[in-house]
Amino acid sequence: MSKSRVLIVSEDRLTQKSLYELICQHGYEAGITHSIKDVMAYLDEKICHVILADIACADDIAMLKLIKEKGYPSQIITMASHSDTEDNLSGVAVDCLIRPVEDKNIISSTERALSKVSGAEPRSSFLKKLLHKEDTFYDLVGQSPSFKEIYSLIERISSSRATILLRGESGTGKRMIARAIHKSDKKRRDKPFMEISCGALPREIIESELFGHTKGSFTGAINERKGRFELAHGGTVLLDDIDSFSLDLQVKLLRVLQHKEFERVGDHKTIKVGVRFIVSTNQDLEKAIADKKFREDLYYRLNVISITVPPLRNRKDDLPLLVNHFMNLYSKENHKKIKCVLDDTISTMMNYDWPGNIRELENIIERAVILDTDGVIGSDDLPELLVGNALLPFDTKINGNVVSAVSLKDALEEPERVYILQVMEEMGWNKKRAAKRLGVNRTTLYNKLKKYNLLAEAK
Amino acid sequence: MSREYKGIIDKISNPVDSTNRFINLALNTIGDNSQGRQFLLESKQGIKKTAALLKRLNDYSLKIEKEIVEMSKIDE
Repeated sequence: MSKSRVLIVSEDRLTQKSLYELICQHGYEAGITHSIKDVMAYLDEKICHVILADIACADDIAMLKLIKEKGYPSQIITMASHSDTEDNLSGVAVDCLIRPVEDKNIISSTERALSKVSGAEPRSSFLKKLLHKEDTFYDLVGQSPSFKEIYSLIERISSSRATILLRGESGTGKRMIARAIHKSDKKRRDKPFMEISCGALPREIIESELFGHTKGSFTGAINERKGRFELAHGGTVLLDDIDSFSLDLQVKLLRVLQHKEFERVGDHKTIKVGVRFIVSTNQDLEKAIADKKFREDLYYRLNVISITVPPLRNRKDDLPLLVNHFMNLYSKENHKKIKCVLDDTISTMMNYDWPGNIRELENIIERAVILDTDGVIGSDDLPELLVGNALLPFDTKINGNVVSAVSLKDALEEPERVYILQVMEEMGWNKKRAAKRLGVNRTTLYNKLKKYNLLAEAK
Repeated sequence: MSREYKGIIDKISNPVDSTNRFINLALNTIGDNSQGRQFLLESKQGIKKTAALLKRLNDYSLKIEKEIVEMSKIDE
C-alpha cells in the first residue's frame, strides 16, 4: 500500500511551505500546486488522496466544484479566512477550515478525509505512534512490555537511596537508563550526574580519580584534588564496567557503598558524601565471583535492585521508534531533511539480529542519514550486511553458496566478519575509530580481527 | 468597505497562520529548557494577539455586510 498523498494548493509561499512541513512531519507525502487551476493537471499525473486548498476567491470555489464533478478520487479540505465560503462548498469539501487553523485540526481533517478514500493508508504507522509524548520516558525510547516494566521500576525506585545494578549486553542503553534514574529523582536531578568508565581509567590513577588526593601524596600530585565521588555530592554516580575494578579497589568501594565515606589518597580525614550509586556491567558477575575476580560481599551490596536491560533483538517492537528517534537526531546534526523511512527498510531491520544492539542501530542510522541523497531512507542506504544477510534462514546463502542447517553461531560469524571488514575499510583500518563505529571496545575488536584472520590485513 | 476589510484579512491571515505553524514546528524540534523555546513561546503570544485582532476585524466586516444587506432590503 502506497503512502497517502496530500496536495497543498496555495498561492502564498509561506502557507505552502508551512503546510508541507506539517503534512510531511505527520508521515504523509505532500505535493504543492500554486493555484487551483493547476490542480487538474497535477491529478492527471499523480494519484492524490486529499486536496488541501487555500480559498482566495469565488473562482477557486467554482474550480473545486469542477474537480469534484470530474470524478477525481480525491477528498477536498478547504482553508479560508471567512466562514461565508462554507455554504458554497457543501457537498464539495469534507471540511472547511477557517483561519486561524490549529495544526491538530488540519491533521484530524486530513485523517477524516483519508478515511473516506479507499486505498489510502492513514499514515506511516510508526510515525503515528511517535506523536504521543508518552513514547519517551526521561529520554528513554521504547514501548515494548520489557521496557515498560523498566519504566515502572524506575518510577518506584527513583526516590530511594538504594544502589542499582544495571546488567545487559554492550550497547543496550544502560547509561541512558542510569541517566533516566537520575532525572526521575526529584531530589537529585538538579545535582551532578557523574559517569565513570571504570574500564577506561588506567589502574594507577583510578583511585586518585575516584577519591581525590592531597598535595604531595604521590609523584605528580602537585595540588590537592577532589575526587569524582566528592564532586558528585548530592547527585548520582554511575560506575560503568564495574567488573573491571581490581580486587583491592573493590574493598574500598564496598566501604563507600556501605557507609558513604572515604579518605582522599594521602589523607586521613574521612569525607562523607551523599551520592546515589548506580553500577553497570555487561559481564556475568556470578561467574566472576566463581573465578575469584569479583568479591562476593560487594556483589551482594550492589545487587540490591537489579535491572536487566534487554538486548535489541528481544525488543524489536521498539525498533521503529528508535529508528525515528535517531533519524531525527542525526538529520538535525547533519542538517539533512529526511522525509521518511520506507516500510521495507523497517522490515529489513526487523529481520536483523542486532548483535551490537542500540549502539549498532544508532551507527547505522547515522550512516544512512549522512549517505542519503533523496530524503528517503531506503534499503539502499543500509549497509550490505543488513540488506544481504538479515537474519539468515535455515537454508541460506553465504558468499553465494547454499548452506543448509548451519548452527546459529556459524550463521552469525560470516556476516560479523564481513561487517567488521567493511567498517575497518571505511575507517582506513584505524582500530580506534572502527571500534567506536562498531560499538565495541578496542580489545573486543582486536580479538575479533584475530578470530577472523584479519589482523594481517589490519597491519 | 466590507470588501476592503475582507481583502486585508485575506492578505494578513495567511502569513499569520503560517508563522504560527512554523513556530509550532520549531517548538517540536527545540529542547525543553532552551532559551530559544522561551523566545518562540513569546512569539506565539504575539501571533495569537494578531489572530484575535483579525477575528475581530472579520466579525466587524461581516456585521457591516449584514447591515448593508438589510438596508438594501429596506430600500427595495
